[in-house]
Amino acid sequence: METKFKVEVLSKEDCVRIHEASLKILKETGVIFHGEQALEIFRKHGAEVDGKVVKFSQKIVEESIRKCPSKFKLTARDKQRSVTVGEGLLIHPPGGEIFVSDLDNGRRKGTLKDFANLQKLFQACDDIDIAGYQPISPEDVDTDFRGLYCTYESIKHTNKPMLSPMQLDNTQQMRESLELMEISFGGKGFFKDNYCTWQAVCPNSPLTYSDYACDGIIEYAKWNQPVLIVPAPMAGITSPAQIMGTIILQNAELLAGIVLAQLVNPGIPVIASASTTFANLKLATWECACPETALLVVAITQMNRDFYHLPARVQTGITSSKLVNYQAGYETMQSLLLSALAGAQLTSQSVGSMENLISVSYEKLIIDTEIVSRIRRILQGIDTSEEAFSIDLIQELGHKADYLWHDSTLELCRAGWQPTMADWNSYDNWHRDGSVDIMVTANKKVKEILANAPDKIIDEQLEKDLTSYIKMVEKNR
Amino acid sequence: MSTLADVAQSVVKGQMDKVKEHVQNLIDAGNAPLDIINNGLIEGMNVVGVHFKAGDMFVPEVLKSAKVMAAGVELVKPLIDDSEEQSKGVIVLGTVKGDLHDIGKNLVNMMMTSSGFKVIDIGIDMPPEKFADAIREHKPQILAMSALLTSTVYAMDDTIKYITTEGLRDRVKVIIGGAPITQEFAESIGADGFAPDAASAVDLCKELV
Ligand code: B12
Repeated sequence: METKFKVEVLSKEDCVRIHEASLKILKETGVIFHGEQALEIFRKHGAEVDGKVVKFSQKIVEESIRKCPSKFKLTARDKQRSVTVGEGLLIHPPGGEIFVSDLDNGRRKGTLKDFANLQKLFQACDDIDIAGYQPISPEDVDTDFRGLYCTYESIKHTNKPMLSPMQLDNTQQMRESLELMEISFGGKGFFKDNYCTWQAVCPNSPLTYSDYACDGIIEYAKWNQPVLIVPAPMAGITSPAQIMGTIILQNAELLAGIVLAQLVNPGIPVIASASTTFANLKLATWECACPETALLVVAITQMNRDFYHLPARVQTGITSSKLVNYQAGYETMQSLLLSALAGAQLTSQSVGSMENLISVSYEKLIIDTEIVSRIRRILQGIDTSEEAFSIDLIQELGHKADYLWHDSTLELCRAGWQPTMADWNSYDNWHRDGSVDIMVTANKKVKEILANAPDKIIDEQLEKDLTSYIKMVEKNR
Repeated sequence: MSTLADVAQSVVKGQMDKVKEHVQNLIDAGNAPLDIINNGLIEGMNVVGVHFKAGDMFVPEVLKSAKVMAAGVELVKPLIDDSEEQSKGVIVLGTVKGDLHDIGKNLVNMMMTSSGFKVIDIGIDMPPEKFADAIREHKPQILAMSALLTSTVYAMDDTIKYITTEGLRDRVKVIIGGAPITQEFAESIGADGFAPDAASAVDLCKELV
């Protein structure tokens, strides 16, 4: 359900000015593409290519934007769980984290078992709509096959829509991951008619697409899978220190990527994303948690969703905190609530991520699903129907405080939002029940989910098909 | 009259005109060039380093101070003969193969340079051969590698193995850094040191040379 109220930081004219400024940069400064194939595609379509710099006309940019659908269906193995990207708010897992932590074992490098466990949590949590991706890098798997094993474990433990792992280091690895996934959907050819996955493509700000980023766009577009473009400049380091300048720069990067995707496969969905941050210039670091970053993602969401009518994804609900504590809580809520109120349709990194994307916490992941649930409730707004006005009731009861006894309250008493993690008890009751901290509650929940999760949710045949594919890849390497 | 303290102060404050004026005055007054560099300009950067570590100075301010220091050095340099010109040591620095992250590396470079090291930055996505070539060409005391991806950290291992087979390992101390790196990892691949940030990278280099 779309919210009736909205947070905006840009006026309509601001959006137009940003668009025009981006066009100017695309036309006059251009964007570097390191991929030979990408340059060839641009040349073929008459774009101005000078060395590796590609310059774009207003026409080609605006035509490309028009070809992008504003929403599309992302198909899950369990069709009931398919989602429409570009409608409402969807939450997907964190990606790229290097360390993992839980209350029992502390912070450590991740393993494939951690990866599988996290997928089990995604599968079990109703507030997480999409699974897969790469919430942790499994250090016990050879780097050549990490992406493949991550894909396999995702298939094994979830039937929600499934994102491709982040660390597919070249087109061959992308292909292998896609082929494996296609097997799980019933075999070759399924992706031709169904959108099922995507991979994150980051331009190398400012205004540069690495060879690897070009491959990401071209390969996924060729497979007829959506393309996700994630500009990630750091204001003051790889883009202007002015928030507005950074918005324009990242917007120009996005538009250049859209053109490439549409030239490869006209009509392919492009998800427009912002991982843009306002840098912490004290240390020159990427800083997800400043209020300016929250403003940036609101502005970019306005551009992507309201101005360009593209599915708008944001990296939001993130924290710099090293512990799951007060800081982690308010930093997570700060940007997640704001981006949700700005109309973000898809969020990344909002469940479990810590330390500016460096680590993922089992417990925070669970606690964050409550934040998501709260935000979903807030997005529903309030019922403003005639019935909801309750005038008859107010007059019926007059000055008596008897609402608690009244049938109308009985009817609605379960309609209110309730926490699964937060403790709303009195001090005495909380103390009587062992003075439990939220981390302990979350830890228990994690264990409960993992204890109840099946070893695999796929049948023998599919498992055989998948493992024999992996064996084949390993043998041929 | 200008003093060495004035030079240091102008570096700390990032005052380009002032530093040039003070350095010129000291040169005219016959101060030893190396004295101006070591006890004026670099001393200023040492103070900057302390402020930076304490969180009192922002990186762009540190960069400005570094630029100011470099301008001061430029004035003094012609007066030093080559044999006398001495850096704290030469460092070859680069981001390893497959990795395009360079912000951290650039910061490390800046802090090392402004502490008096001569840094040869060979860039990003550098295969082991390029690190080996740079050792042969620049004869550094330290080889410094940066990596930000869990998949590219192994390229550090590859690079160490490669320079070992090329017979270059004994000529350099190897230090590594980047978000996924831990002390444990550094030891496991036989690096001589690891530092978690740019300021401690400099301390590490000072220890090693
Ligand atoms: C900015 C950034 C980018 C930018 C890089 C811009 C640039 N010019 O460098 C862009 C957007 C291009 C990018 C691309 C990618 N990135 Co990136 N990126 C980051 C991010 C957010 C910040 C890195 C940074 O600049 N930090 C600021 C600097 C100052 O800190 P630092 O690098 O850690 O350096 C300090 C210390 O580590 C140390 N140090 C560093 N080097 C050295 C060397 C020595 C010798 C010493 C002693 C010390 C030392 O001192 C430095 C200064 O204090 C990190 C997450 C994070 N919080 O670190 C992800 C992150 C590293 N990236 C990640 C990923 C996944 C990618 C991509 C694969 C994304 C994609 N799908 O395209 C690509 C990979 C491209 C490639 N092949 O390299 C993952 C890592 C995944 C993994 N498990 O390995 C991270 C953790 C984010 C995440 N969770 O997704 N990224």
